[in-house]
Amino acid sequence: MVGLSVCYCIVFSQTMTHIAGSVKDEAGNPLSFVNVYVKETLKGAVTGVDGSFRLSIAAKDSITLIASSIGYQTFLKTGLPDSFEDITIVLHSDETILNDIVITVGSYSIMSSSTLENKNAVDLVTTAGSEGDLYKAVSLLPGTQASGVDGRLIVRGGSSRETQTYIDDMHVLSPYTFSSGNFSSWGRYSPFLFEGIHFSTGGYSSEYSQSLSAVLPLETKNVSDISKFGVEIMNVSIGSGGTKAWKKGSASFNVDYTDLSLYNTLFYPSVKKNWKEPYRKFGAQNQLRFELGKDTYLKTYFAYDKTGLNLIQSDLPDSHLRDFDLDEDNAYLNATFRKKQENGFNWFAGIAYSLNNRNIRNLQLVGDKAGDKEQEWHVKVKAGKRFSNRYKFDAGAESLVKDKDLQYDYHQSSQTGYSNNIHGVFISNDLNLTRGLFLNISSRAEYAGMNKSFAFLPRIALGYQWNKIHFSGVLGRYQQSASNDFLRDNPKLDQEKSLQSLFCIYYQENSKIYRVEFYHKQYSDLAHIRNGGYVSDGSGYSRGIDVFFNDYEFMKHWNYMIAYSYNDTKRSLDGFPEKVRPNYATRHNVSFTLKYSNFDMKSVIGLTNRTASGRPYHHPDKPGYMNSTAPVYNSLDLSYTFLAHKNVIIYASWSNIFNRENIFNYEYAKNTKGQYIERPVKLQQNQSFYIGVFITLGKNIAYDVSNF
Amino acid sequence: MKSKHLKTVLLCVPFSLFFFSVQAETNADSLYITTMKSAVEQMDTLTQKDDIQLCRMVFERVHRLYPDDWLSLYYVIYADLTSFYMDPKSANSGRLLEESKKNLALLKEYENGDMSEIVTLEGYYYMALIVSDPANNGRIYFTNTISAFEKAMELDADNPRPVCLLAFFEQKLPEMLHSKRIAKVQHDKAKELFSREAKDPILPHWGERYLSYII
Repeated sequence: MVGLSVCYCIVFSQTMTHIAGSVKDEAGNPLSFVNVYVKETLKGAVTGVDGSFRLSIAAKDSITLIASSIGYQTFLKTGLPDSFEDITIVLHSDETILNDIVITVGSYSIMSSSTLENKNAVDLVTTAGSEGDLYKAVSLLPGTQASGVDGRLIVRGGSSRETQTYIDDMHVLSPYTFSSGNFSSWGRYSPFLFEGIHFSTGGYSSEYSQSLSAVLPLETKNVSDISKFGVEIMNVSIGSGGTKAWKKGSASFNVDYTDLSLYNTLFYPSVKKNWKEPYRKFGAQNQLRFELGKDTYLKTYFAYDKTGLNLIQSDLPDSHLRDFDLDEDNAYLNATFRKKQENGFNWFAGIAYSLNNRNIRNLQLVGDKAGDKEQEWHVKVKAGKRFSNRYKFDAGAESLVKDKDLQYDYHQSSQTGYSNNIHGVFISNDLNLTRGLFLNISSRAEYAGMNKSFAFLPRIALGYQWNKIHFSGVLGRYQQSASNDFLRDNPKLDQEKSLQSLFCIYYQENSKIYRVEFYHKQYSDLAHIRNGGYVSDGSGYSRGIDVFFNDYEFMKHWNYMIAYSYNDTKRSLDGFPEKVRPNYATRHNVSFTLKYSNFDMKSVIGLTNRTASGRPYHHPDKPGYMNSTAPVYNSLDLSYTFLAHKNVIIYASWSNIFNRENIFNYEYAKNTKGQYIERPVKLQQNQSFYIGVFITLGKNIAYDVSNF
Repeated sequence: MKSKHLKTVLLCVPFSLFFFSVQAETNADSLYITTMKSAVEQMDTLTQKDDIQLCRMVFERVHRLYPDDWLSLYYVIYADLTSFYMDPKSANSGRLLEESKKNLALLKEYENGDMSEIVTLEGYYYMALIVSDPANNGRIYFTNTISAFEKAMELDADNPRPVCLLAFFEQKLPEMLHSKRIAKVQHDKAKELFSREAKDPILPHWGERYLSYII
């Protein structure tokens, strides 16, 4: 036994090796408080203020030395103990990990799933001017322009159809409610449905197609682990819904009914007579979420709404009256599957179906009848893999299959329709070239079935972070089918194209964000009218600068935001023989948003002023084209949110409080004497006033008006 | 003589193997227990951020050596969050929260972990998010915080930490957000649970100091 003990002692007694050195960052500055230790042991040391460390270890064979510190990538090196006697370790900031790449140009995260920049829907809708509407809230950001009478989002000189909306990465065919003449539309989808709202004013990922100007991807929640039930009562609508959560999933539902008859009676009795039947909309939404495993989710989202109205319209030149009678059904369904694997693979598969069916009586003439049925299938698969901290690869494929059927009856019946199939594949390479320097090279190949054309759409993005300043630039090519009105008459029209170049400087310090962005869009193959027919040889440009400043804590309780956009654009448009500035494009846009949030007073007060220079319009009696300018647009909006109880929120908004009559355009028609009769195009009501009570019941619910 | 030696050797071999294996295992266990016991007990007494981060390094090394052990990872997160609370406006406070979020996601995967303790720590993390930006995050993470502590109490009614932290959290809320829970009752309950808690050196037993803030 003595021999055995000696043997044991020999085996376990080894000479001590001293490991020493220093730890620095990439700039050569010593790093203190770095945990330096030997793998498979608890032997370790901590670096001092000069970055030095020293430890002893009994080992003959090779060892692995580890150095770790929060905010830096962990250092590991294997070698014989002697090789660590005087080692210099350089730790690389984990900001260079590819996961953190943010190309800021053109991109705004209003609500994000990221931990530290989370804003909920209540923050969004308590901004004055948003009127609780997703698109109106987004339109306060730089790059956007004051909406026209249709209330839709207009981005950087592009028409509203050049901005596309996605829910959980799946395309939404008709995101707006119906609008006509002087009656504004709204977003169909409540901001309360979404966990993330990411708005890109240009230079977006190659994953998104069929958009010449901007994309608005919306994310629903992957998990909702709280059961709740809510009721909302507004002066224009009532709604109710809730969520039932269980261990690995949840189901949410919501129903709402909007009826403007009471609203018109109370606030606009003078225009009530114009409504034979007030605007009415019934909506229902449902979402199912299943957590199938670790980072594996299956979600379905379904929304249906039915809209009806009968509005008396007056036609130029003889003020002939016409009962514009609408009946619309709109449905949207998507199902998505996501899986994130520990080996760095990400998988996504999704399918979406959109249907919009409109029947209108007296659309253009008394006694006519029009039917417009549009449906779209969208199928998408994508996968990605992080190969290292320096490189990530993503690829995907998708198909958009759209059918449109139109019917017009007036004495005789005519039918037309077309199918528009778009198939695309896309790849994306994210590279971390060196500390703070990021590069994305991506491309998309797209086949358009209507005119059997194939397009290659490359994109390159570069970002560089220097201290707190972020520079980024994007150059990318995008395309979109011509508008439905044009395709109806000429299905062979080319895909319209835009080459976008953007450059952004972004600076953030504490609560302050400064941002300046320059952009230039070159349009080609635009559809327009020549010699009475639709052709695809139009072109144009849109260029400008966006400036954004936000201080969300400039004084206790106060938050303000200033956005200014300058836009210069001209394009081939309709039947004009030369390039003109479109009516929807305003040269100067300024919005100033102020918010006062005082929890002690249970109040959030918002004030927003939006000004836009006059819109161009064409006066047929004057020389030239688009030869006149409408008056300046201005609207001062107010909102007040009272947090009556943790389960009860009272919200009120008042737009255009000075009742300014904003004129967007003028329309003309010749009378029997051959003279032009002029009529301003403006909203039926200069102002809007909404008040509502939101009650949410559920365990531990506070200030959460979302039923989802 | 030869056969006697052979017999001794044959007897020694299995004994030696047994001795070495037992010794190795005992060494491993005792190393873990000794280190964790010392670090966990020390953690309860520390009041300086730097000292807490030094202690965190020990937990990090233990976790690297015993990757199946949930407790060392638990204490890494606890140390980061406590460091955050000590100086929420510091330059690295955002990183501490990001690191905690990442490690919490890993910790929740441990099937052998004490879920009541883990969920309590999650509530402690949500509370930190609120501290980082009360005006905005208060509304957002209010529900998550309270739900986490309530869930932790459901999972283990004898765990004093969620009771104590929930009482602490509710005390800091505006009156309109207070629940029907009576503060005094919660304080007494937390006090009693802490006094009853078996102070196992290798299980979480922090939190008693929060009682002094609320009573």
